[in-house]
Amino acid sequence: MDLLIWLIIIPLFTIFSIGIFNYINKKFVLPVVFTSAILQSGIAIYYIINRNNLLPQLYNVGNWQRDIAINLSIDNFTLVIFVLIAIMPLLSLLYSITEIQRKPAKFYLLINVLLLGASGMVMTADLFNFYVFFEIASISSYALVAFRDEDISLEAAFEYLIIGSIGSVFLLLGIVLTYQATGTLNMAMIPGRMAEIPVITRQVLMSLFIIGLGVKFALVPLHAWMPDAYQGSPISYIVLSSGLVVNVYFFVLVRILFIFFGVEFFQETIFTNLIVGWGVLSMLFGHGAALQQDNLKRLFAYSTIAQLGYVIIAFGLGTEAGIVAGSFHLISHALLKGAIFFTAGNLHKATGSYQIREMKGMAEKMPVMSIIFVLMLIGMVGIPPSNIFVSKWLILSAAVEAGYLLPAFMIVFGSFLSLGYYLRPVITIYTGYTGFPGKLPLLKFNEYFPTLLLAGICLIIGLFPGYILNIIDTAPEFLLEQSNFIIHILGG
Amino acid sequence: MILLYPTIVLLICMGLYTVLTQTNMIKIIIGISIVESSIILLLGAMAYFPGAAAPVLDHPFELVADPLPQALGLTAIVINASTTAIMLALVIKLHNRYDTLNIHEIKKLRG
Amino acid sequence: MPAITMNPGFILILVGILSIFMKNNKQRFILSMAGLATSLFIILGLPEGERLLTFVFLDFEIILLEVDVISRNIALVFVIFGAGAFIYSYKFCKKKEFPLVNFYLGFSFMILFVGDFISFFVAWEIITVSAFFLIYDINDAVRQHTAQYYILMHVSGGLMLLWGIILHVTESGSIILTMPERGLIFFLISIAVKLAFVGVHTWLPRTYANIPFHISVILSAFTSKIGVYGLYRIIELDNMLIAYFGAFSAILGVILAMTHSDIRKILSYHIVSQIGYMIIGIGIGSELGIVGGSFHIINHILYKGLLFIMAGTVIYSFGYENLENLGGLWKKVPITFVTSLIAALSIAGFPFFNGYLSKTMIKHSTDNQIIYYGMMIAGIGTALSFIKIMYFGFIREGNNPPMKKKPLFSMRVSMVFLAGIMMTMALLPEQMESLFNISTGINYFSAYEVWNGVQPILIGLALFPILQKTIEPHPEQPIEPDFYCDICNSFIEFDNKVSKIHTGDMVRYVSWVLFALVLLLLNFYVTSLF
Repeated sequence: MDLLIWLIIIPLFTIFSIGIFNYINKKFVLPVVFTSAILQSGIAIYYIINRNNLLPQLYNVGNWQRDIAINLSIDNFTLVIFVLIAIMPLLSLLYSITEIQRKPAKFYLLINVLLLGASGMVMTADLFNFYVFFEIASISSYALVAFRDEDISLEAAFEYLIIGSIGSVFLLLGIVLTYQATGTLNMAMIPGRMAEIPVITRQVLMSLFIIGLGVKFALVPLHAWMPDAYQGSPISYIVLSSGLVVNVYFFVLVRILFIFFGVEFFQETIFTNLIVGWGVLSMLFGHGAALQQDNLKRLFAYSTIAQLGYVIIAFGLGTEAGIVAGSFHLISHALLKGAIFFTAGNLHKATGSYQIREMKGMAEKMPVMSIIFVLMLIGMVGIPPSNIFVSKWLILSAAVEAGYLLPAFMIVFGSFLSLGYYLRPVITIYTGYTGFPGKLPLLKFNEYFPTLLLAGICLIIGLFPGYILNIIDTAPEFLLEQSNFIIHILGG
Repeated sequence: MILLYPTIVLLICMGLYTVLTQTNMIKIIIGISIVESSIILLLGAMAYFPGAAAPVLDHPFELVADPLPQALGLTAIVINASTTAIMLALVIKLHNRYDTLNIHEIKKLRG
Repeated sequence: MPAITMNPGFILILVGILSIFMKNNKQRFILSMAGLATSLFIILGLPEGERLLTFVFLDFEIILLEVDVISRNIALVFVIFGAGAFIYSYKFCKKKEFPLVNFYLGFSFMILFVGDFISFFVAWEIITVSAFFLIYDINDAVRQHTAQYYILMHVSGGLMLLWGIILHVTESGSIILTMPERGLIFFLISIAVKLAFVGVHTWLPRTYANIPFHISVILSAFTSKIGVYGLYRIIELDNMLIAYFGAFSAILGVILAMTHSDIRKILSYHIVSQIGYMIIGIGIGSELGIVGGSFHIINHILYKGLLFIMAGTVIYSFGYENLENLGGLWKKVPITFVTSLIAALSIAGFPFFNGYLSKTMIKHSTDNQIIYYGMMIAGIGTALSFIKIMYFGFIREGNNPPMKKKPLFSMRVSMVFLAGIMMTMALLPEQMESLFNISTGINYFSAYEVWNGVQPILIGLALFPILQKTIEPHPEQPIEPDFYCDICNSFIEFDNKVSKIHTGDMVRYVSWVLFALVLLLLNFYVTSLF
């Protein structure tokens, strides 16, 4: 059954119906939004469960010839993101019910645009559509960052917009030059022609793609928008961003680099060393900057930057073990960071501030949330039995196997740094203090349920990593072997 | 034709220079627009070659300009227009809140 | 008797979870004691030398149960001391402490019986985390600081272990707990942190002197011994260098101990010193040496635990622990005095007390003169500092502090219980040897051995009047900044400067993007030249 296209159609349809229902009767907005979110999760889960029979699958929009058609494809590597599509949007929307009190319909609309862009970017098999979906996701992100309409949100949105526009200009330049050099935008036809063009041209194209997409997943030094944007935006958006969208951008960059240029090319041009070193820089810088933060959202934004550094290192190795490890870390970090952001949002309900020092003594007021928060923070360092332990194990062994001893050791050092800054909120929250004014608001079901669910999923993955590893262990086939991808898109 | 590509490079550099040196937010937006437009110019330049007709297939031609860059260019124009619209909207909001158009005075987020 | 093949740690972890739901301390206490009794039953029935309870995790075979003589004997003592500590403290334990202590004990048991690196590491880290929560207190800034120091120190050690394991596993492809093929130094660093080797021992006195006494009883008995056990399990080499390091640690530990006057600080530095003996035994590497070292672990758990219990009782009854404020206690708390005298004589290695047996074993395991005299000097130091505690705390007629509270009946029971166990062990050396499946042929109670054992104590006694002025008690600060704090502070300062580059200026951020692009292109250009 061709369910792929429905991942595009459902959000599109939802966007229009939200507009209509918001005009007719506001009661219908929520059911529509949730039906669509559940359907999207359902499709993702359907593909994950039936991955052995269905994958790889290709949907040819309009039934043109395969080399000029608009192709939507899903292969085993795409499942990495499908795991997140199955979990994150639904929980994020659930959380937003109480968080977004002002103009909820607009928020759902923008979130659906974002989801549309994200799903499209993951599935599309040509650069033209990729650029369109990329911009759809970007523009809705800009709007979502500004959504809270506070001074800092507007400032952050403007900043993100400027940096993001510069990035997307370079991406467009990269796409245009790729077309100039190869004469096609079909992602499956580019690799064959790419091999014929001069090395330096290929390197320029690579740089443009890295910068264009690197801005979006906050590669140091293109990361500056991220902490600001997170500080100003609602938790539901942050969870969706750090849990899904940022990972999608990274995923697309990985796919472009591996499919277009090929692993052998990286090894020939010492690109592997560069990207691993860049990952280390990203990680150390993220951890270092997080040490200085006094705002929980900023702290976790920097921590996200650092955690993506681990993923960059793992993928940069270019080995099968590295790709599996990187995918695993991508998923487990997204889930755990989502849970942490939800918890931070719940704690925020009591204090009304994300400043760490104003959370003093929260533990006596919200004991359950606080203990979950602490356990998750400690888990984030990589203390077993959290899922981060498994992913760090995988990344470290992949890096050591590939001979990158120093970067691997830097990962260990980075974990130590991360403990340093996670301890600060822990200690502040667990400090005796009785100065809270007034009564505490009760947490609603939709606020604690996503937190507990995500935390539970993380624990289960930590104890039984096989569930996720079974899904992603065939992912490298479609990355390291360009021919697999080409045959899948163009047919034998 | 020979001057086309140097012009595009020059335009991109001009745009980036504007973004980096100007303090007025509107001027920064103009700079970004210049960069974006120069890439659209590049797209148009790529599609064109001497003697080619527009790719509108209502009667037979021997030489047709490449339609794909033109389609991409049109898409890019639409996207740029909407990005610019959001930028300008944000500038209005920021001006209301901060009472300035100087980008160096909008610095609440740091660290 | 039907044997249950089960890692006894799991029982205590289960008990820890259950004890969250209990209503009062009595129920929690009964539950914990039942858990310990079950573990005792399980430990006695465990088959030796087999690899059991295996399952596959990440393509590796996890072995959750692998018993040998030494781990079984250490586990037995863990049970005994755990029981003693629970009896001692259940009346005034806080609600959160029962589950945490049970987790702590459970993972300590677990680590004794696991047979692979992954579960070893898991238990190693969770021990750290549960100890962190035990040390942490919501209302006490000093304890918060201490806990932070503790977890940073131990997690850095744990990460070293992880790094070592990764190096070893990628080299050998197997995770069975054995001598590492690569990255030995990282294992050593990690273990050194856990067992408070001189140089990385700073967490130990800082922690044990700043937490409530009943928690320091528990922590002091187990944490560093697990490190020694790890040394025994992982490092299989007869390396005299390690033995020399042990002797060095033993001497430095006592010297540091003598300069302090908080009872628990003295005891803490003595842990550093006593760990040195265990390292000597394991470093010598002969069967006698290893058995001596691990026997010393067992003895040490008992007498050091008892001494911490003594310190706790003194704090409980008098409210002071600096020797300066104490004096003449023996009349007021006679049971405490007698039992702690037994423990002090044991730790000093006085004949007919249990520390004597293991020290003699270690002495007999090598002919090396440096080790011998090192142990001699350490013995003199030990004797001196315990004479110091006994004299200034219990005997001297100084400022006799008033007794605030009489020691509880349960506290006295646990002291007598532990002292009784110790004396039984001390007087039955053959049975102890058979417990370790070894026959040394040493005649512990011959005149020669006894004279050897008494020597350091006599020298200590003779030196005490001379040194009395130098080691006199003085007031102490709870936390003193050290080398590691300085490193952290300077790093944070540097880091602060680096993160100041985020000025909030958007133009600057855009320039970073362009800069990155230019740098990337330049890099490609430069690499293409070669």
